[in-house]
Order: sequence, then structure tokens, then C-alpha cells
Amino acid sequence: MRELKCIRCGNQDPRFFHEDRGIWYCRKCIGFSRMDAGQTLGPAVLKLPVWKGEIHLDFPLTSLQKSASASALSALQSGKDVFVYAAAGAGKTEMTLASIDWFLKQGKKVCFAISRRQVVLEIAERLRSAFPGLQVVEVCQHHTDVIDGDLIVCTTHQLYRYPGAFDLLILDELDAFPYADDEVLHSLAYTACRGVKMMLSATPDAEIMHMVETGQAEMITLFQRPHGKKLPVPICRFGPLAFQLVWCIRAISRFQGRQVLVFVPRKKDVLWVCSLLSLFFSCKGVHSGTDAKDDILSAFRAGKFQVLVSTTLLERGITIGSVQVIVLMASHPVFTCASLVQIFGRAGRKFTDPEGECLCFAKKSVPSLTSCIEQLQCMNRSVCPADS
Amino acid sequence: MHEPVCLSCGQLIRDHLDLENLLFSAPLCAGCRSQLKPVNRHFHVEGVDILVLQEYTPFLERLFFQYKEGLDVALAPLFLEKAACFKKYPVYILPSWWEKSLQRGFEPMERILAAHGILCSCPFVKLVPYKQSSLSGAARRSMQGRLALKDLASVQPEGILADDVLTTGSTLLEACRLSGLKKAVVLAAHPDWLKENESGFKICPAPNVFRKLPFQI
Repeated sequence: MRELKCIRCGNQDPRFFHEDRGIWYCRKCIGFSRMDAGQTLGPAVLKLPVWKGEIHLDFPLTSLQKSASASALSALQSGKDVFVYAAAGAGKTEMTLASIDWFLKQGKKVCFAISRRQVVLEIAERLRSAFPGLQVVEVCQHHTDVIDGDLIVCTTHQLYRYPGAFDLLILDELDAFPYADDEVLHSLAYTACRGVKMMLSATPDAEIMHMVETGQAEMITLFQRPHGKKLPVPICRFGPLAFQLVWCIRAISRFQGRQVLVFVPRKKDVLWVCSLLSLFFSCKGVHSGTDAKDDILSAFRAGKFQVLVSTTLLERGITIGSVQVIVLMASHPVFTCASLVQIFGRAGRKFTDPEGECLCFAKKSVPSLTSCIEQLQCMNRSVCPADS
Repeated sequence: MHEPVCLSCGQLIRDHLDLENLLFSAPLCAGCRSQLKPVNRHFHVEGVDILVLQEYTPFLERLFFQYKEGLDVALAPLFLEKAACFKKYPVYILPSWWEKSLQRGFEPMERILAAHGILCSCPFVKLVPYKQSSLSGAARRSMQGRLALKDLASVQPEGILADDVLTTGSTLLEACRLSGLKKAVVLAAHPDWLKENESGFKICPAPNVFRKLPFQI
């Protein structure tokens, strides 16, 4: 067989090509429609953005945010990719606004791509509020009727619709499932970008750090949250599951009606933990298979119930006002160091309640937990050296 | 020679082995095959003997979508792992709407059967375009005027009508009524249809090949 290469996903593995009556096609990216060998991948035809307004923010950016934001824009203007390494809640999304604003005003096409659908909807809402009058479209599952607008916010899966389309591609949470470790999604992102990329993460993996070390991207760091308070570091207790549940119930009681996010490792754990906590508190559960995810999250944001039990579905990108965080069964392998950093990053994000409390209950101490605590302390030291 | 990969998940088959992978060159790894729900039962509905091979699970639905809408013809062989129930009879299939066939470039059921060396013909014609999923329950059950027998079509009464997915069974039963066929094989039936027709289910003791379960042949 002669050597084949898929122009969309870059696949060259002969096991993932199939012959159909003399025409070879790629099976690696078949989920995104069939790509025959020899077929061209023309640039997506999209309308040019029109934006002459000003950015609207409820709170002004801090001096650190302004400085990081300006550095990022300057690097992008010089044609360099940028990696923004910022703590959860430090305002990564806000740091992209100046760059989005500049690119849009130049009539250039901008896309904000994120791994998870849930986060797409939230970011689109935030961008809509930051750019009043701009047509911001979200493109993800159940939102595919309109796929073009002045600013596109989509899941990384949806990037297959936009080959060669974007002058600025913002990739949020690079290290998150399913984008991380998925070669096809990486290729789709590279194919969709004809200009520069801005990558954001609070927990970069080795691949991203390699890009920085080899000069492929410029790194900009921001570990201080806008309210200036330190990142919450979890308080850990170790014991059997029954003890963890008792500690969990006592802790929620102690929070006196304040909202709590309880993270558990598996979908089935959501069901029984939610049933148990419902005996004591107003409680609901959510995982990837839950039908009414959006409704449950909206109700939680509106304060209609106190406890939300979730899998790692809500570990990233979600901003919920004043919330405390509890992780049950934290020694389970699903809770990686990156995952835990993100989870504890949900707490203490609000100006009005910057001292969120994080509790971590596990059977035993595991390396992911200790390195998570080390990372959070390290970030805190970098912004408040006097406290170290 | 490259090591075979699972047609569904793309993982190496040797990483998820079971007895079937060891004995036969199965196209799916053990993990993916465990998501299939074999039925292998005969149902008697309105005088037609319908052999159902699989339950139409979400996993199978995804595969069918990838095959029919994603044009992933590599999947064709896996929908019919055991084809012996077709071997001794003339096989007839139901048509797609002509525009859809042109767009796809192939007839899904014909391609599945061809992957197992089974020839078939389509003596029917769809008179109006419709998609089962877009119709209401009542409309799905009323098939009159939607399907017709082609002029000069010759159908041997001992033949088998083959269909991919059975949702309400109305198209299949209408085709049997028009052609006089008494036997049908469907690759997958919707769980609701299986539940509704539970009373019509029987394991047939008759000695001929059609009346045996595929794994008994």
C-alpha cells in the first residue's frame, strides 16, 4: 500500500485507512465525517467580524491582570503563540479579552475552544456580557443550528467545522479530557488555526511545558486571584469511607446553609451519595449522563438547593458564586493532581467570599493529593512570599 | 502485516482479548462487543416470522449512524457476524429513498450482506421520502401508500426479507404484505418493539436452517 496521510487529522497509520471501491478514507477521524484520500480541505467560509465597541467588565482588572493581558497581546501581535499559566480563579478568561478585542477590531476571526460543552455555554455567556452587541455564538452539542458569528465559542470537537478559519484560536484547559491525549482533536485545532494560538491552563502537562521550553510558545503566569487572597489549600482527613461520610455530613452542617460542591469519583457514587445527603440537606447530583445538567446547574447557581454532588464533570471552567468544596474518596485514581488543583480552584473565587473552604476526605494519602497541595502552596508562595 | 484494531474504538484487539477474538478474527474487541446485546429470537407478528439478531442499543445506534451517515463502510461486516441464516434463501431488502442512496453511494443493507458474500435484490420502491425518526408513532404505523412493489418484480415466497433496524415494524410488515414473504431477519430491533412483542416470541423447534438460532447452525 502506498503511503497515505489524512490532511485533516494527520493520520498515517495504515490500520486506520480503509478502501472503499478504490478510494481510501481515514477512519481515525471518521467521527467528524468521512475524509477521502485526495479530497481537499478548503478553508471554512465565515463572515468577517464587526466590532467597534468597548469591553465591559463588572470589576476592573487588577494591575497584575492588566500587565499579563498586555504581555499576552504583545506576544500574539508579534506572531508568537502564548501559553497563559494561571491559577484557577485568577481570571484567565478576563486575560483573553484584550487580545480578542484587538483581533476583532482588525476584522480578524477569533474562536474560543474548550473541551467541555458545559463550559462552552458559560464562557459564551461571559463573553456576551464582556462584548455587548457582539454576536457571540456557542457551537456544541444541541447548539449547532448557527455555526458562524462575530465570535465563536465551541468545544474542541466542533473545530472540525472550521479548517483554516481562525486568526486567533484560544484553547482553554488544554490538559483536560478529552482534548488532552487525543491526537485527532490536537490536529483539528492545528488545522483550524491559520494565525496564532493562545493556550490557557491552571495545570499544564509535560507537553505544554515542552512547547514553552523549546520556544514554541511564550509563557505568561498569573497565580494571584483578583481579590488578592491566597488560593484555598485543602484540609485533609484520612479514614474509611464510613468515617468520610460522617465528616462530610458534619462539615456541611457546619457551613450553615452555605452552598457546597461535593466531588465523588464515579457516576454511581453520585447516586448513592446524593441519596444519603438528601436525608439531611437539599441536595442534587450531576454527572455526564444526567439529562438536565444545565437546569440543575442553573438551579444551584440560583441557590435553590444547598449541596451539589458531582463527578469530575464540574472540576473545570465552572464559576459558582460562593461555594465550599468537599472531595470524597480522594485517593481514587480518577482524582489526579491536575484534577484536584482544578476542583479546589472552585472555592473562594468571589470578591464577596474570597475565603472558600476546601476539605478532602480519603482512605489514605496518595501522591496526587500531596503534589496538589504542594502546587497550591507553591502558587501561594509565588504571590505572597512573606507568608511562606 | 499490521496488528488488527477494533473497528469501533480503534484499540489493539490483543489488548482486550476474549475467546471469540482468539478463535475467530472478530472485528470488535471484547470491550466493545460486550456492549452488544444479542437477541437471536424469532417473533411471530401478523403471520410473519421475524428473526431478531440484536437489540438496538445506544452503542449499536452509534455504529449504525457512523456507517450510514458517516459512510464508514468498514463497519459493514460487523452488523452481521453470523450470516448462515441467509445462505439457502433468496434475500430481499427494503429500499432507501433514492436521493439518500445517491448521496451515500451505497445501499447500507446490501453492503452488509455483500460483506458476507450474500447477494440480494430490492423488489420494492419507496414512493415518498420519510425518515422513521421524524414521524409520529401513528404515522410510523400507517405505511399505506409509502411503499410499493416494483413493476415486474419477482419475489419467491420462500425468500427472506432483510432489514437493518426495526423500530415499529410497520415498513417490514407492509413489505411482507405486498410481496407475500413470510420470513424476515432484522439485524437490530428497538427495545420498545422487543418489549411490545414479547408475547409473540418463540424459539422454533423446526429442523430447517431458518428456524434455528444462528449459533446452532
